[in-house]
Amino acid sequence: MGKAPAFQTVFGGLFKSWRQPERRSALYALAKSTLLVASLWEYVWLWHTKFYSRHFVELPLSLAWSLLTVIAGITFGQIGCSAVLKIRSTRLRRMNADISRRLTSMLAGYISNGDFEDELIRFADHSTDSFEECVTIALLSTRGAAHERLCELPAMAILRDRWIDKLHKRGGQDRRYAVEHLALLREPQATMALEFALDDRDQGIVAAAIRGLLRMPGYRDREALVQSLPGRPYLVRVLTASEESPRELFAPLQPSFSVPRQTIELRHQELKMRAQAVEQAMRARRADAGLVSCSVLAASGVEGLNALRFMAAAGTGGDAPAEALGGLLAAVARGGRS
Amino acid sequence: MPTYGELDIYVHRVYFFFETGIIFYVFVINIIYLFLVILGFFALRRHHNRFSTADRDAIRRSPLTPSISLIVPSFNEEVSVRESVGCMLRLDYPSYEVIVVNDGSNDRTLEFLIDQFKLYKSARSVGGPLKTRPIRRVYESTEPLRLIVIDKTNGGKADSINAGINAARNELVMVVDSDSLLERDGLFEMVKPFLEDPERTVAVGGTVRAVNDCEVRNGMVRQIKTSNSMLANFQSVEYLRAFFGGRVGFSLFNCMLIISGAFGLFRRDKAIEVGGFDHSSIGEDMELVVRMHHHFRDTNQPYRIAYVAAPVCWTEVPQDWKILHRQRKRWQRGTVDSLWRHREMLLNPRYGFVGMFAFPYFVLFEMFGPLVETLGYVLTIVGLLFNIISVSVAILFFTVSIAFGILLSTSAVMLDELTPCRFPHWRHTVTLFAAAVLENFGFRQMLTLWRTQGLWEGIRGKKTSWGVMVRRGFSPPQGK
Repeated sequence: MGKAPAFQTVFGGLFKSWRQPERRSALYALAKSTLLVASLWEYVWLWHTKFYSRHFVELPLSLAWSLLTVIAGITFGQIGCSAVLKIRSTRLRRMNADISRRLTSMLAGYISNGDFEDELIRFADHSTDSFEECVTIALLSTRGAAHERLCELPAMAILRDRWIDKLHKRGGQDRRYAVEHLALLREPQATMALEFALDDRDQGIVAAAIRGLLRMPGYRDREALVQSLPGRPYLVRVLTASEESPRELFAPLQPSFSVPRQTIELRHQELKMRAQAVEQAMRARRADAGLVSCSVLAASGVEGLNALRFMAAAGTGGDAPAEALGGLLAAVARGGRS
Repeated sequence: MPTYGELDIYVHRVYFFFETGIIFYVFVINIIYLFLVILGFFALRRHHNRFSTADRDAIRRSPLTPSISLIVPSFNEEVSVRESVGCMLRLDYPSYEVIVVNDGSNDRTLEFLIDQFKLYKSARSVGGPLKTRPIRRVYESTEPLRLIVIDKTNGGKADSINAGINAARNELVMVVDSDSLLERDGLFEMVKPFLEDPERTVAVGGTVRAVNDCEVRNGMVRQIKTSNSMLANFQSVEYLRAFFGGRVGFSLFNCMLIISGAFGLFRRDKAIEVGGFDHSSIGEDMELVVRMHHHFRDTNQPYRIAYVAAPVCWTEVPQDWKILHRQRKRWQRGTVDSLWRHREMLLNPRYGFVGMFAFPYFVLFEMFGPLVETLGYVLTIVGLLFNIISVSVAILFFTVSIAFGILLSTSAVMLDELTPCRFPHWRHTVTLFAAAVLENFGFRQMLTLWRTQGLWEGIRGKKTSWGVMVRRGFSPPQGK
């Protein structure tokens, strides 16, 4: 076999696979950078030919001054931009903090069945962005638990439409945001939008849409979606494996990433045990049985601790979660566990 | 015999030729740096598309999430080892273990670890395919901590990492310096390239930043600040320039030749396949990455070595000129050593972009750059003193080298402003901009000189050692 020519070896692969997202973005970045550097050089040359060459006879001196002028311009521009960015972000942070504080307290009151509906509607009309942000935080922090109460607000329909519109935006961040929030709503109206997102080019968005659809109550194509998961990219499978799904889903994992099937099954069992412990702790009729389950959770690492915290905060499982957490804290205070 | 006048003209011509060549060289090197910084500007935004809260939640609960073994080689790190290991044990990632390798420390590193983490002598076997110096003992914690401490005979950093790779039970291994602090959720971002492209990704590097005088509490960086020492700030700017400029650009074309030894994630099987870290190498981190390129291209295996800017590893940078001098000489020797070992790749089209662009770039600009720049300073000053070159040429040289340097440094600070991990207070940004300007008057020239020394020592083949770094420890919380 003869050696391929250098040009083909180096550049052939790059252009041949330009459709890969990373290569495409590399080429775009390269093209933009080349244009920018070329235009900067043009700018230096312009200063040299139009201005400095008339004042300085020597070429090096004229070039040096042209370079200095452009470099100084860019440097001061950067410092100015940086200052503007800093001032703007500080002001925005202060303003948002103020609005969010007021809106969050109103929303918290509303979720706890307070009578804040009129104020919230007025607020939503007046500053929809802040309203959207606060509702999002409320939905995320309560993991969708406040969804029913929030959906009673007429303004939520506006938000839902906004999120559906965002699905068609070019920016990946916007689309991901929209999918994740539509998924939190768990409404049949969001189903079509989420199904639309299954064909997105960003695999993170696809995974978010799958999670949303699998959590959707009464979703009719659930089985077909679960069946399609093993054929999807690894990222999607990692991001969706936590959803309730049959164990066979993990079985056809390609060995190329060298994750042994046994390890995956062990992890799956571990997760299952943890889930069982949570369930037992919540359903335990006797206090000591609840405490045993909570102790199992406390010993099962960060995730178990998080589960205990949520249970203690929600008051599920009686006093057992709080007792188990207290015991752990006492052990930490004694220097028993870092 | 030429007359005095003819000789004078001849000397002037040769001198001018050299001076012009050096100016051209410095101009080209700076244009390439500028190019890389601009590439960083366009590509950096993609690097900060972090996993959302929902994604992280899914990863935490996913049985498919790859497990990580954090390998922490430590040698005489009694000042910071407890805090940094404590920080590593508190990371937010569902499945990982920490393996601290005590490389025959002479101080109380091991005692502190035994005391702090309630270690007992374990019967766990830590043998593996990579050859290392003898292991004395293996310790595990009596507490439910995912911590293993390996005490071994002194053999150098690479040898310690290899011992850690042998002991690792997970599919990914991360090498972290024991004087470094990781961001609590940094591992999520580090594994991202492995999840996106599991078939090809073999190694991922993250960003390293200076922690000096930042507010650190419970092993976590609570507030980012600039240091009170200008020397640390100069290095801070330098790190920003190297990571946001250079590595983002090289990573785009899969030709990154270096992953920082303080913060790199590797596939264990692939690291073993290429033979692990080479303990005879000075710059073991760079050598491994270059060897990976060499090996995977030779064996026609598809691979990807990526850099992600979002996860940050905070490390203490030297605040002492002597230590900095030693460190930079060692780095330069490492570069020379790694490039020399794999010289076969230079301008060899078989190695694609790595052989045709990255390798020549490193040889021409990273290896010989300091020598040419030093030569440029000397020739310009001597030429001015003896009236061989005109003032205008000297001005052009200093413009090209110093003004471009300022531009590159301020651009790096500006890039930092576009990241979520920027300095929160404007005072620190101003300090950093000041450092970006001032570092070009003295500091950079000093580094160039030291790197030239390193180049010379590298060519002579001076032997390697860990090097002594005086640790100040992480700053205590404010108000205490």
